[in-house]
Amino acid sequence: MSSTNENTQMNSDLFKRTVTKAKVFQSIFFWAFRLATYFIILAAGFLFVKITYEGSITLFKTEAPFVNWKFLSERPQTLYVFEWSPDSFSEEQKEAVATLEAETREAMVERKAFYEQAIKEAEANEKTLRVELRAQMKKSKATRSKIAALTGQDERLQKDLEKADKKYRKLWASALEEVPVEQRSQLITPYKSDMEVPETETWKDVMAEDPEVKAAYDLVTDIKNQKLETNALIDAEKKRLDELVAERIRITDALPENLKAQSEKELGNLAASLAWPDPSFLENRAGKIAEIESKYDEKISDLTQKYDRKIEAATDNQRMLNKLYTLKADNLNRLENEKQAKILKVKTIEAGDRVYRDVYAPKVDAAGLSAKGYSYSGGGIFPAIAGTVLLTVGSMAIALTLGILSAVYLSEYAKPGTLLNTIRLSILNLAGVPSIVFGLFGFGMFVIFFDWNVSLLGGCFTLAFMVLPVIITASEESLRAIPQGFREGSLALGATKWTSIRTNVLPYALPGILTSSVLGVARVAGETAPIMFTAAYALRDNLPWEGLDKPTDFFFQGVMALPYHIYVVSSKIPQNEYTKRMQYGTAFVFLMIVAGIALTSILLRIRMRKKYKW
Amino acid sequence: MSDKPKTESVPPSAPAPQVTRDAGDLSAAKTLIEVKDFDFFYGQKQALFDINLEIPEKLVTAFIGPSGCGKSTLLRCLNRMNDLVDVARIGRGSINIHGVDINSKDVDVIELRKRVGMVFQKSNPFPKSIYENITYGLKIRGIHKKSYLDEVVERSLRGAALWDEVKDRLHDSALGMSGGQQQRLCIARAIAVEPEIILMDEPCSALDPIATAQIEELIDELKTDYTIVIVTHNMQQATRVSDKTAFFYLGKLIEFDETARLFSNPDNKQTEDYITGRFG
Ligand SMILES: Nc1ncnc2c1ncn2[C@@H]1O[C@H](COP(=O)(O)OP(=O)(O)O)[C@@H](O)[C@H]1O
Ligand SMILES: [Mg+2]
Repeated sequence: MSSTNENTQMNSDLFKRTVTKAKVFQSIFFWAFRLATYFIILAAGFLFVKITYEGSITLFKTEAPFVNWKFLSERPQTLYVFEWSPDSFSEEQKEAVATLEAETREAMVERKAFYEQAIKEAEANEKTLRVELRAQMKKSKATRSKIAALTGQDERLQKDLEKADKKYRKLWASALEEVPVEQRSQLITPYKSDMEVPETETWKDVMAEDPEVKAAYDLVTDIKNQKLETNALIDAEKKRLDELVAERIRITDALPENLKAQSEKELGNLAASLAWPDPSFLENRAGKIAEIESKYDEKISDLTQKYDRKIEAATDNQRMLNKLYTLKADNLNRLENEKQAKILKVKTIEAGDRVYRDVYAPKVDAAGLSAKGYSYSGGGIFPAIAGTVLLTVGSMAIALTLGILSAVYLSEYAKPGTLLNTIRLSILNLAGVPSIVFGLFGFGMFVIFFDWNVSLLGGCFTLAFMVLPVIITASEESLRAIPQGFREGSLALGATKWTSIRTNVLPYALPGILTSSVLGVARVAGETAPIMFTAAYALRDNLPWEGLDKPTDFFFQGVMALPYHIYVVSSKIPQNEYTKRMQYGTAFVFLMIVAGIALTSILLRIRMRKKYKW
Repeated sequence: MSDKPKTESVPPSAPAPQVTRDAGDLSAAKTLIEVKDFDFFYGQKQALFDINLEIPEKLVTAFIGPSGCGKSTLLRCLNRMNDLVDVARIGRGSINIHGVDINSKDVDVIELRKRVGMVFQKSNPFPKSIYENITYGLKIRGIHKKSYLDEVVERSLRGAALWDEVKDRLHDSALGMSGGQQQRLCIARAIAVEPEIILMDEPCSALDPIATAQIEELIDELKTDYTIVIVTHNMQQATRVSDKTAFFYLGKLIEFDETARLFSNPDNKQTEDYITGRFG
C-alpha cells in the first residue's frame, strides 16, 4: 500500500513545475528582448505617424483635387505675420490698432449701407426707366408710321394735282385753237388744277390723336378747297367762253361775206376783253400755296425732330442704366477689396518678399506696427524636390556604373591575394566613414581642386563616393552568388571571359545588386552632410533648368535639396504655428519620395528576378 | 529507348562486369590527344604525376579511379578549364591535340574550347529558355540568322535525343526540365557548336538509372561523330560505354588499355583490386 502511495507521489512529482536559476534568467531575458523590440517599434512608429499626420495636413486637402499642388509646385517664399496680440502692444500701438479697427468697422458699415441704398435706388430707377422707355418706343413708332402715311398721302395729292393740271392745259390748248394766234398770248397763263383727295380712316385716326397733324391736314384741305373753288370758277368761265365762242362762230357763219371780217375782228376783241383769269390772282395763289407747303414741311420736320429727340432720350436712359450697373459692380469690388485689406491689416499677411515690400509694408508701417517674417514658410518646396531627384538620379547613375565596374573587376578578374584583400578591407571601411567626412572630401576634391564650385555634379560625385562601398560590396556578393557553373558552361562553349560575364553572370547578378542598392538610394536621397558644402543652396529662386547660359551650366549649378531644406527650416527659423505646416510638409514629402524610389527599385528587382531565375 | 535491354541491366554492384564492346579494330584508331610526361599542381600540392596517355579519335575513352585521384583535373586540362583556377599550374610535360601543344603561347584558348566541348558533372543549363541555351554558343560567335539557329537547335536536340521531348516548349525555361533532360540539354548545347572532342565529367552522377541509360545510349550514338572522354566512378558505366579505359590512382595513371582487356585481364594489381571492389 505504502509503496503504491510512494509511486503515485513520485509520479505526480515527475513533471512538476520547478523554479531554477536558468528558467528565471530565461524569462527575464525573454521580456527584455520583447520590451526592447516594442520600444523601438513604438519610437519609430511615433515619429513616422507624427510626420505622416502633420505632413498630411499640409499636403492634402478636403476638396478636389485633394492635393496641395501649391505646396509641391511653388518656390519658397517668406511668410509675414502681424500677430494680433494686444498684450504685447504699447499704449499708443494699442490705441492705433483699436482706432484702425474701429475705423475700419465703421467705414465698412457705412460704406455698405451707402452702396446698398445706391444699388436699391438704381434698381428702382431702372424699372421705371424701362417702362417709360418701352412706352416711348411704342409711341415713336406709331408717330413715325403716321408721318410716313401723311407723306405718302401728300405725294399722291401732289401727283393728282399735276395730272389735273396737265388735263386742264390740254383742254385750254384745244380751246385756244379757236382763238386767233395773235390774241393767244393774252390768254395763256400757268394754272394748276386740283382734284378731290379722299378722306381715309388713317387720316381720321391721326387727326384724332395729334393736333399738329390735324393742323397740317387742315391746311392741306384748305389749299384743296381753294383749288377746287378756283377750278369751279375756271370751269364756269370756260363754259361761258365756249358759249361765247360758239355763239360768235354761229353768228359769223350766218353773216354775209363782207361782214365776216368785221365780225372776226369783233371776236378778237371779245376774246381780248375776256382775258382771264387775272394774272395777279394766279400769282397770289401760287405764292400762297408755296407758303402753305413750306409751312407744312416745317411742321413735319418739327414733328420728326421731336420724336427723334424722344428716342435719343430713351437711349440716354439706357446708357445711364449701364453706367449705374458698372458703378455698382466697381463699388462692390472696391468694398470687398477694402474689406480684405482691412482684415489683412489686423491679422496675417502671407506674401513673398517683393509683394510684401511693395504692398503691405507701407500700410503696416503707417499704423506704427511691424510684421514678423518667417523665411520659406509662405510658399512651396518645388526646387528642393527637383534638386533631390536630380542629385539622387545622378549620384546613383555614377555610383552604379563605377560600383558595378569595380565589383566585376574585383570579383571576376583580380587575382586573389593580399593586395585584393587590402582593397576589399579599405572599401569596407569606407562604408563606416561619417558622411560629413565625405562632404569635406567632396568639397576639397570637386569644389576646390576640380574647381566645379558648389554644383550639382560635385554633389552627385560626393554622394556617389559615399554609397560606392555599399554598392561594391553588394555587387561582389551578388556576383559571388552566381553559380560557377554558368561561367564555366559559357567559357567551355568558347566565350571570352568578358562575354561570359556580360551574358551569363551580370544579368543574373543585377537583381541582387539593385536590391542592395535600394539602401544606397535611400541614403543618397537622405544625406545632408555630403551636399552641404558641395551642392546645396539654402534658397535658389531659379529651378535647375531655368536661366541657363549654356547646357553644361546645368551640371555646374547649385541646387536646393530636400534634406538640406529640412535641416535649414528646422534649425534656422523659429518653430511655431506659422512655420510648422511647412516643416512637417517638407519632411512628409521627403519620406514619400524616398519610399517611392525604394518601391521603384523593388518593383524593378521583382521584374528582373522573374526574368532570370535559377 | 527503353526497348533496349541495356536500360534494365544496371546492377548496383557487379564484381566482374561483362565486357560487351567489340574491340576488334581499336588499335587501328588514330591518336587525337596525346598527353606527355604531364605533371600538374594546385599551388604546392601536386595533383597529377607524369601522365602519359594517347586518346584515340572517334572512340570513347573512360577515366576511372577513386575520388580525388585527379580524373577531373586531367579532363579539365584537356580544354584548359584549369586556367580559371588561380593556383593551378603545369609542372612539366605537354598535351597535344592534332600534334599541337595546347598550352603553348600561340594557342588561343577560345579556339581550343570551341573544338573541345565540355559537359559538367553538375548539369548547368543557363537560366534562359531551351532555345537560348542551345544557341548561346553560336550567338557569342556573332551568328544571329534565325533560320540557321532554328536548324541548329533542331539538329542539336535531335543529336542529344531530346527533340521529341521538348520541341513544343523550346521557349520555356531550361530549368523546368528534369535532371536527365538538363544534362542532355548540356550535351546538345555542347554539340551545337560542332566540336571535335566532347569531355564529360561524371555526367550521370546525379541522375537516376533511367536517365543514366539514356545518356549512355546517347554517348554511343555520338561516338560516330565525336571523340569522347568521359570521367566516371561507375565501373559498369565504363564497361558499357567506353572503348578504352584509363585507371588513375593518387594522381598517377596506373593502367591504360582497351576496356575489354582492362576489365577482364588487368596487368596491374591495383587495377585488379579496384575493379573487383577491394578498395575505392
Ligand atoms: N581547385 C582546386 N584547388 C586545389 N586543389 C584542388 C582543386 N581541385 C581539385 N583539387 C585537388 O586535386 C586532387 C584531384 O582532384 P580531382 O581531379 O577533382 O579528383 P577526382 O575528379 O578524380 O575525384 C584532389 O586531391 C583535390 O583536392
Ligand atoms: Mg571529379
